[in-house]
Amino acid sequence: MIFGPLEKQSLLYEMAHISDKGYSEGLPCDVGNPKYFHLEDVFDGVGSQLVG
Amino acid sequence: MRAPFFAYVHLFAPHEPYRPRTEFENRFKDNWKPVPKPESRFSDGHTNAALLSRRTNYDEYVANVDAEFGRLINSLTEKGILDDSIVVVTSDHGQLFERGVHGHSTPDLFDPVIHVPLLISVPGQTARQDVYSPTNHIDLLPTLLHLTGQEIPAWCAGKVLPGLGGVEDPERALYSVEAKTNSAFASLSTVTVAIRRDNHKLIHYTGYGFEPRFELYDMEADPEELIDLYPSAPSFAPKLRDELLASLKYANRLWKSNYTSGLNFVFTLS
Repeated sequence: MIFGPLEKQSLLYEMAHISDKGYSEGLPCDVGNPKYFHLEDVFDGVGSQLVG
Repeated sequence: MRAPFFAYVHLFAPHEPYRPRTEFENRFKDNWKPVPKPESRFSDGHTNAALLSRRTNYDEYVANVDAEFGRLINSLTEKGILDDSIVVVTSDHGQLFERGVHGHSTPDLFDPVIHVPLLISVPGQTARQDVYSPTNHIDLLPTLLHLTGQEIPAWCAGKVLPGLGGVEDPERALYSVEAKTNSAFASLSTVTVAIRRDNHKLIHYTGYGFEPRFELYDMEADPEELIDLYPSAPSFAPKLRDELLASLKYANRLWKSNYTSGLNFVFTLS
């Protein structure tokens, strides 16, 4: 109840400041939630999890 | 030496919205035209031109994801992770861009929705091998157990995949089910069920506000599913139909008259 809304606000702040450079049609996102991402970051994250 | 690990990675991309990096845009604008198909009963009214545009955009996004996946595989190869790892790439659904329908939230069970990619690499594999035998996601568990030298439990419904230790079985029946609008706590009454055996695919629609109906396609002679053979009553159709209906009845066996509501069902299980 306390940390959830704070975390959501933090996420929304991050989303508002993420660069869309390289994505002329806009950033990829989750259609149901305001979660925007760079594809390369997603795959880098998966790779680091598997290698680490 | 690293400990054995199992990683299940569910990526949102290439789900909608299709937003590839700029360098992947316009890669598939080559004047290709899809085969014209009749309107689905569940058509959203999308025009063919709109569907082609979205399909092209989808292809661009898939190409972008594919390139990123290649980068990931290269990285895992360089780190030696793939020397002792099995990699499985698949999807939980496909996507329709035809018959007035876009997406997969449709009761239609045409192949673009259910014929999904399945790529498997095993340690020591040096060459690509293509297997065209119809299969099902339920085959992944026994296949992985087989590849890792584990015992396959008797309750396991799937089979080891051909090409990875299993054998092809043209007599095997494979099922697909679409029941998103059906309550999870009630028998399957608004549902589409497809049974595939060898090259024949029978689709059954029931509970959608029109008379329950069957459609039958020869997937080898008619892979675009344009010619419904069911009205011509081929000799093998009744057996396939009875098998499908018996399976549906079996799936509904838990819901007897006293389990009519979700609450009853939950208490019964407790």
